[in-house]
Amino acid sequence: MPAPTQPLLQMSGIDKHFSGIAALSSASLNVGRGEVHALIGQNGAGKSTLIKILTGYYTKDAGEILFDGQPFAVHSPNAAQANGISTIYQEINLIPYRSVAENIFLGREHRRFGLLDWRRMASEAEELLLRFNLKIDVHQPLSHYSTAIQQMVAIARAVSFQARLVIMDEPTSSLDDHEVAVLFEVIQQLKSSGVSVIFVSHKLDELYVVCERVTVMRDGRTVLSGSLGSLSKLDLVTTMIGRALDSATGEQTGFRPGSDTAPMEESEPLLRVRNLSVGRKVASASLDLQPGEIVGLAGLLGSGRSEIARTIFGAESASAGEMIYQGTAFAPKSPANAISSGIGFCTEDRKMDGIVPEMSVRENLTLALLPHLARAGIVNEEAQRLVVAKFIKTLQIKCSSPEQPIRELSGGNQQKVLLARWLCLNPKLLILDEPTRGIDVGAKREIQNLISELATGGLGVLMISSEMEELVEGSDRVFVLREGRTVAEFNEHPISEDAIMAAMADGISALKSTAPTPTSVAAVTRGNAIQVLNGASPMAASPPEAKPLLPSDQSPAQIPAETKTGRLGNWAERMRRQGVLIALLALIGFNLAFTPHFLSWQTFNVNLTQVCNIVIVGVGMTLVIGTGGIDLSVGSLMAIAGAIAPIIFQNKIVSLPAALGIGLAFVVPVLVAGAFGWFNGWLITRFRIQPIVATLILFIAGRGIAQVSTNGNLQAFNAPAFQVIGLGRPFGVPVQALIMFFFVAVAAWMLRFTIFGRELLATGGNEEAARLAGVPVNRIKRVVYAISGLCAGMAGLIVIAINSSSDANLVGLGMELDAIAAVSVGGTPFTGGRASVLGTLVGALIIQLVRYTLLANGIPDAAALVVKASIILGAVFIQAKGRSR
Amino acid sequence: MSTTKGQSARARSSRHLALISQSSVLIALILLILFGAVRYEKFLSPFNILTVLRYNSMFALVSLGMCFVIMSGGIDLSVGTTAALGSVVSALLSPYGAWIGLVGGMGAGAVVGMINALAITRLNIPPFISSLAAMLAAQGSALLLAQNQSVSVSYDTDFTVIGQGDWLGFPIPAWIASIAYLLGSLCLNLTAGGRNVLAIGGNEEAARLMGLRVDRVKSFVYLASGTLAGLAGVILASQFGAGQPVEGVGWELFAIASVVVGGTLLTGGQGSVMATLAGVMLLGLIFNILNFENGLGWISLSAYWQSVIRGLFLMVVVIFQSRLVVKRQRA
Repeated sequence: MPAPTQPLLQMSGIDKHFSGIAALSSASLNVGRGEVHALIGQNGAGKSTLIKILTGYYTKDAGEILFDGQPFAVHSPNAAQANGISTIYQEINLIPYRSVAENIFLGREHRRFGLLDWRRMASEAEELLLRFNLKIDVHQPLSHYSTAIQQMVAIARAVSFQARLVIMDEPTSSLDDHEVAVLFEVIQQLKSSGVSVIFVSHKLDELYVVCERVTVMRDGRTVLSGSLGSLSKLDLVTTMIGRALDSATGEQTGFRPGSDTAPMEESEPLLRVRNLSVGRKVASASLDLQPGEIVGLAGLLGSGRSEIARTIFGAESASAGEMIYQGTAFAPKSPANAISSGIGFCTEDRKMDGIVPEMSVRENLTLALLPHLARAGIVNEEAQRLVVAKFIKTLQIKCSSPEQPIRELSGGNQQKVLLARWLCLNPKLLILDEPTRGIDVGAKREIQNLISELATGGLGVLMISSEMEELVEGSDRVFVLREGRTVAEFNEHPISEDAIMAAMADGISALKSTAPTPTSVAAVTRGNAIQVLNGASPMAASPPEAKPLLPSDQSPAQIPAETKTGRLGNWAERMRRQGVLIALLALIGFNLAFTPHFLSWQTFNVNLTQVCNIVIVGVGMTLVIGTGGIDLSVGSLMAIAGAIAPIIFQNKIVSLPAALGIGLAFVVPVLVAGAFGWFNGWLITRFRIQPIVATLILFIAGRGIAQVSTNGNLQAFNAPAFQVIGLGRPFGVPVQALIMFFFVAVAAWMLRFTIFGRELLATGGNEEAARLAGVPVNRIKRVVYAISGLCAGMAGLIVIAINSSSDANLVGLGMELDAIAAVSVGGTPFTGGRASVLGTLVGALIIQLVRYTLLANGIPDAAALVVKASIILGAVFIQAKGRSR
Repeated sequence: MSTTKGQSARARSSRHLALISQSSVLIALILLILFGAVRYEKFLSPFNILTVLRYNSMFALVSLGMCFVIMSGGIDLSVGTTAALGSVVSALLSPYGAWIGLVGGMGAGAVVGMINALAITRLNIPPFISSLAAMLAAQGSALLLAQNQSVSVSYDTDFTVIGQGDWLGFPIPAWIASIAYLLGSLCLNLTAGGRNVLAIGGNEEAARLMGLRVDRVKSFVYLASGTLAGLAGVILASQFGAGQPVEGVGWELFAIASVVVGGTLLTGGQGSVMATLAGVMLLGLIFNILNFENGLGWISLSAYWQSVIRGLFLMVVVIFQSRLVVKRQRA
C-alpha cells in the first residue's frame, strides 16, 4: 500500500552482525505519516535489533535510513528523541521514587533564574496528562500509581518531546483489558495529530484494533509488509513461523482438545478454596479443582489472581476463608510447606522470581528437588544428572548442555526448565501464572500441549492467564475474578470469550457454583505426571507441529550468545578463573628470580602466617558475599573474641582448672563471635535491613563492646598452652596455616557438594526465586552470617596468640576491608550467586605476595598500599570484562 | 481512571510516613538537646556549643559528600583516608599560605574523587570496590608524603585560622560546613543536577534512556565527595596543628551511619541533605553527652561506651525505618 505522500520513515537494506553472525540481513521498514504500524515476529526475529538501530542504541553495518526524507543517523536514544523519535520500552523506564512531573521533565527541566521552576513544570505536566484524560496529582511519586498510569506518563513524556514517531515495545503486556482500551484511545489521538506509531506486540488481536499496516520479520529479514486489512491472523502466524501451521483449522493454542469426558462421579476435589481473602487484593474468592483438571482463572490485572495463587502456595497468608486440600484443611506457612504437600507454582515473571540467572540449567531444574537428592545434606550428583537428563529430553529443552547458564536460554526454554523444576517433584497440583507470557509462538504451543498432557496424567492445574484463547481452549472450567471476588464460573464448553470478558469487566452475577459439575475430569489413567513423562509415548503422540517448529526457536539473535558461551565463553571463563592463579604463579616466578632467599622455609612460613587471618575471615566473607550480602563487622568481632579469651584463661571471672580454662578459651570466644554473627543475620532477615547497614551496627558497637569489657587496656599474657594456636609449629608448619587450610577445605567442599552450598548460591543468585522454590532463605542467611562470625572469632584468637597480648583497639582493625579485597581479587562477584573459596585463598596470597615482593625489594609499605589498590581495581576490572563477554 | 481516588489517598498517607521518617531524626535531635539542656548546667553554654560545632564540622563535610554519593545509588569508602591525605597535603603546603594549603588539600581530595569517578564510570567497577581501592591508595599516598609521621603545620601563616579561628563569634569550620550544607541543599532541591542524582539513584538504566548524562552526574558526585573529604582534611590539619596520615580510618562508616540515621535510603534515589546534618549532630552529641555524664560523677562510663551507644542508636533508627518501609509497602 504505497502511502499517498512520501513515508515518514524508510529503512532499507539494514544489515547488522554480532561477532560475525547476522542478526539482520537486508531488513526494511516503512512507516507512513500518521500511521500506526505493527511490527511483529517471533522472539529473536530481529525486531528489537532493528528498533535499536533506529534509536541509536546500535550502529548498523549497512543500509539506509530516511526520516522525513532526510538521512537519519543518531548515536544515542537521547539524540533520537531530540530528532523526533521516542521509544516506550516494555519495562517502564521511569524513576519510581520521583514525582510524575519530575519524570516528565527529567533531562530538560524548566528553570527560572537558573533554578528549577517546580510550579511551571507541575502545571504543564497536568496539562499534558489532561490531553490523555488523565487527572492525577503530579506531585506524587510515580510508584504510587498503577502500571497503566505509569505507562501513560511514559507516553506523555514521549509526546512532549514533539515526537513525530513513537515506538511502543509491547506496551500492553502488563495492562489489563480496560487499560489497553485507554491506551488505544491515546494511540488514536496521536494518530489524529499526525504522529506515527510503531507498535510491537505478540498479541495479534490487538493489532487489528489499532494498526493499519504490518511488517513481519523472520530470521533477521523483513518477510512481509502490507495492509492488515487484507491479512488474516493465520496469515500473520504462518508468515512469522515460516510454514503453514498444521492446525490451520483455526485452533489458536496448543492445547489438545477433546480430553473432555463425561463428568466424574461426585469426588472429593483436590483443592477447594472458600471465601478466601488476602490483604486488600482478595476479598472473597472461591474455587475448586479436581485432579486431572485444568482450571482457568481469569480476571483483570489487580483482580487478585496472582495473590490467590501465592496464598495457595504459602507465599502470602490468608486473612480469612478456608482452603481444603486433599480433603483436609490447608494453610501453608511457607512455599516450602506447600511444596512438601505436592504443590508447584510457576510465577508470572520468570526473571524476577523464576530463574536463578547465573546458575546452570541443571541447578535451576533441581532447585526445589535438592532436599530429596541428598543424603546427610550432600547432593547425590549422579541422581541429579539423571533427573536433569530425563527432563531435558522429555520436555525438549534446548540448551547446549545441562551446565549452560539458564539466562542464555530463550524464554520458552527457560519456562520449560521452570516447569521441570516442579514436575520432577511429582506434584499433585501445579499453579501456572501466565505460563506462556513473552514466549514465541512455537514454544508456546509446545508448553500448552504439555499442560494438556500433564492434566491427562492426573495432575491438577490451576492456570492464570490474560489470554482469552488460552483460557477458553485450555481450561476445563474457568473461574472469573473481579476485584478480589469470584464472580462467575464457566463449565460448559465451548466457553465463550465474550462471556468471560463481560464477567471480568462487569461482574455478571452468573455464579453457577452452587453445585459445581465439572464438565471434564481427565482421563481414566490416574498416573502421576512423572509416569506420563517417562513413557516415550506422550511426546511421540504430541501433534506433529511441535517438533518441526523447534528449529525456528534458534533465531539468529540468539546464536551469537550461544556459540560464544559454548566455546569461546568456556575458554574465557576458564581464563578468568585461572587468571588469578596465573597471576599468583607469575608473582612466585618473579620472586624466585629476583628476591634473595625467597625459596626458604622461613619466607614461606612468614607469608603463610601473615595471610592466614585474612583467609580465615575471607572464607566467611566469601560465603556472605555469595548470598549477595556483606559483613563489615568481622574486624570488631575479632576484637570481641580477642578480648574474651584472656578473661577466660586468666581466670578473671571464675577460676577454672587450667586445662578446662584453656579449652574454654578456644571455644567460648569463637561461639560468642558466631552468636554476634547470627545477630547480624537476624537483623537482616527479621527487619529486612540491608547487610551493609546491619553489619555496620556491630562494626561500630562491636569494638566498643570489646573495649568496654577490657576497659580499653592492653591485656598482656604468657600462656603457652593457649598460644599454641598462633605460635605452634607442628612439622614446622604454622598451626594457623593448618586451621586456615581446614576452613578453606570445609567451605569449598560445602559450597560444591552440599544442599546448603547450592541453596546459599541460589539465594544470592535470585532470592525471591529461591524462596519460591522452597529454599529456607532466611535460615541460610542467618547461618551464613553466623559462620562469618565464627571465622572472625577464630582469627581473633590467632591474632592475640601471636601478639601475646590482646588490645581491643587494634585487633582486627581494617580486617573487613582486607577480607573483602581478598574475596574480590579471588573472583567472587559482589552481586551474589557465585562464590569461590579457593579464589579467596589465592586472592589473599596475591595481595600478601605483592606486599612481600615490594618490601623485599626495598619499597616502603605505604607504597605497597597503592599497589594493592591497583591490584584490586585490575582484578575486578578483568573479571567484570570476562563476565560481560 | 476509577482507581485514582484511592491511589492518591494511599499516596498521601505514604508521603506522610516518609515525612515522619525524615523528621524523626530531627525530633530525636531536639529531644537529645532538651535532655542535655535540662540535665547538664553547661550543656548550652556557648563554649560547649561552639566546641561541638567546631569538632563535628569535619564529619559533617564528609557526610555531605557521602549523602550525595548514596543518593546516586553508590558508596564511597575512601572519604576517611582521603581526609587524611588532604590533611597531610595541606600541612605540607601550609608554609606557602592558608589559601594554598586549603586549595592543595581540597585538590588532593578531588584527585582521589576523580580516580573513583573514572574507575566507576569508565571501567565499570562497582563503587564499593573502586572506593575500597581508592581508600588504600589514599592512605598509602598520605603515608608516603608524610613519611610515616604526622606533619606539623606552619604557624607563620594564617593556616591554623581555618580550623581554629572564629568569624562573627562562630567557628570558621562551622561556617564552612553550614555554607556547604546550604549549597548542597540548594543543589539537590533546585537544580537539574541535583534531581539527576536522585533520578540515577532511583533507576539508572531508565535515567540513561531518558537521556541523562549518567556518567557525568556520577563523576560529579564522587568528585564532590572527594573534594569535601579533602576539605575536611584541611580543617583537621588546621585544627590539630598537624597533617595526620593515619587519621580518618573509620570515618567513612561513621559518615554512612550519619546518612542512614538521617533517613536517606542506602538503595539510592531518595534522601535529604539537612536530615544528614541532623544525623551527624545526633551521633556527635552522643559523645558530648557521655562526657557530661562522666563529669557529673554519677556514673563513670568510659569513652568506649560511645561506640556501643552509637551502634545501638543506629540499630534503633534502622529498625524503625525498616518498619516504616514495610508499612509503606503494605499500604
